[in-house]
Amino acid sequence: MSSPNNFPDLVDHTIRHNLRHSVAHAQPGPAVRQQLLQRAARRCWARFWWPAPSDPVLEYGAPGRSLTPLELGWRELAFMQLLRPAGLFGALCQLR
Amino acid sequence: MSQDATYILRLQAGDLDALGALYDRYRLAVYRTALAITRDPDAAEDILQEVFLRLHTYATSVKPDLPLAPWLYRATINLSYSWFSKHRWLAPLDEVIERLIGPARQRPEPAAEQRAGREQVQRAIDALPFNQRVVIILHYLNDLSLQEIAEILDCPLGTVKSRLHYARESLRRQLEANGQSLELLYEFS
Repeated sequence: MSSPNNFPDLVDHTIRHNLRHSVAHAQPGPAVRQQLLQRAARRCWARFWWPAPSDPVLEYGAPGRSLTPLELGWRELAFMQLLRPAGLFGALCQLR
Repeated sequence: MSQDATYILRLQAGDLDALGALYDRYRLAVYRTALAITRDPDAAEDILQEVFLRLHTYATSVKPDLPLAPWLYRATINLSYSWFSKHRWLAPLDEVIERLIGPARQRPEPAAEQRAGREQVQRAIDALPFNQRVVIILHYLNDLSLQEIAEILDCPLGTVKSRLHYARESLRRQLEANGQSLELLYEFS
């Protein structure tokens, strides 16, 4: 039985017990493995044409860390605006 | 050379059987961690599949001489965080529904009371901020040391200690408020 003196142990025990109990018998369905291997096989073929980029999920590390800024100057931004379909270049392309 | 290192080298050479073997070895750890964080079996399956797809895609950047488990846990947590940030508004909705339905229920039997106690603990864990919940899950569910958790989360050891402390304090306060259910849980376990 618990007492005020061993309450910290009781808290530890309760957290551990509940977390383990909540996932004790949980396991993924058998289809997950098959889908995984099929997707991996398809990616093998796709990677032949498009080499893998760096992984943002792993690179940014800790959850909540902000993305690295692109550091574009005003010239690059203005140029990209011009090239948008709704920008000047796009509008000129649609002239008849 | 460890078994994992052999599989990683085979995976780097394009052997999909090695991916299957690594999946069989770590699927439960990854799936149960994702499930404990998200509380959603479908999301946990998606995260499980995505973690091993990333392992396949970025196998060449995985060092065979280092343990694989921290890499997998890190990917699991980052993907769970992405899922969590998209679905964070759904959890309060569940709480509102529970509050509306809860008072209408009959007084529960001891077994049901024990289950209700577990649900209270689970809700208390779910109510923790994401960073604290992750530390609690890695420490209590996966039995990882604080140093291992610091390496997985790529943050100082002091930060992990602090998150664990605040999470435990928060849970302690909520569990003390439900002391009777807690003792019942303790006796049955």
